[in-house]
Amino acid sequence: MGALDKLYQRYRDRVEFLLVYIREAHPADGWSAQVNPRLRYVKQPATSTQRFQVANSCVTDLQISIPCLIDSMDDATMKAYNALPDRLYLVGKNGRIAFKGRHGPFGFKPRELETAIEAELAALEGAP
Amino acid sequence: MRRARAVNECGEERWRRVLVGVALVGLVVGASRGIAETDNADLEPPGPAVGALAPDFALTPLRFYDFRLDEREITRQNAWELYEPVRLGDFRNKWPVALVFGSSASVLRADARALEALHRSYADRVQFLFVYIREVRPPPGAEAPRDPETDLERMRIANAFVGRMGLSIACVVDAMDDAAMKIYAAEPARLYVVEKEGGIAFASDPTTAGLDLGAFEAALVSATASPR
Repeated sequence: MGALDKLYQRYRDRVEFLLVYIREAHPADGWSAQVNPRLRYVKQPATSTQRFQVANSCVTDLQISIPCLIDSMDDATMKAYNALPDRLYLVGKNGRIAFKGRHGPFGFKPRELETAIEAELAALEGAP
Repeated sequence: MRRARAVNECGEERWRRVLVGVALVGLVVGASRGIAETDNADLEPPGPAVGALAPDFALTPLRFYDFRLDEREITRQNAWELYEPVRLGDFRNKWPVALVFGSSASVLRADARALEALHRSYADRVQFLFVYIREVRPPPGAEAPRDPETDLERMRIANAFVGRMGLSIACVVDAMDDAAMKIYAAEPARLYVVEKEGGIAFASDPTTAGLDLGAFEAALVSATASPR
């Protein structure tokens, strides 16, 4: 998240950043190895307030300053963007997808997003 | 005789009426005294009095890991305990608790910085709890934030308020039936200090004018001075 936050600080005056908190990929009561003792494994939130609590702890503990939205309990946004466990997108000013990252954790690459942002901003500057 | 009896009956009837009248006056006086006594009782703010055991509540925290339920610096609840509400009684015999009741439109807005400074001074000895309660009812015609209609909306407003005010005080959110607010008679804003053993050590008046932070801090000093 540190790399993403750096991107946010660098481009926040030109790009709207939104962190969409979606369902837990590895909850304590689901498919979770719990092999990393430094991580806190939470139960899958069962209500919207529980999801709010986890998202709130997440952005606070990880010191994320990107504005955070919380997906609804029917996971509509996560499904529409096929985003589990985590994924990066860039939406152009025209509302169309300008960049679609691969699924995390291995495909989650903030550097690729940065390249896409630079290309999009350059195209905007070149536009009449 | 008949006339005399009639006069006598008339007199008895009059006395009866007078007696009924006296009885009614007595009832009215009694009732008005009762009202006056109720008025006097209302001068004492309701809610738990100093010395009483603090009524327990269990409320949803805004986020986890802000609460110190044991001697460790921060409680690391395990995953299975998450989503359990935070219970005031769980702090008994562990820590004194400073209860701050208020909402985003209350006087807390003006006193947030001073409260935060107090929190930072006493955070190692006292568990502070900000209990976000329903928004203050505005006077007719005045603008105020809409009262939240769902628990999620209430959490969102509480979270925005805590963030905006820079409060690091652990926050729990009152339930939609306003149970904690009612039992502590806390609207629109009120301060309590609960001693380690669970008794009320300090109760401010419910206020719209300004929190009595001087008396609050004095109570914190005294609650932390007693041997642990």
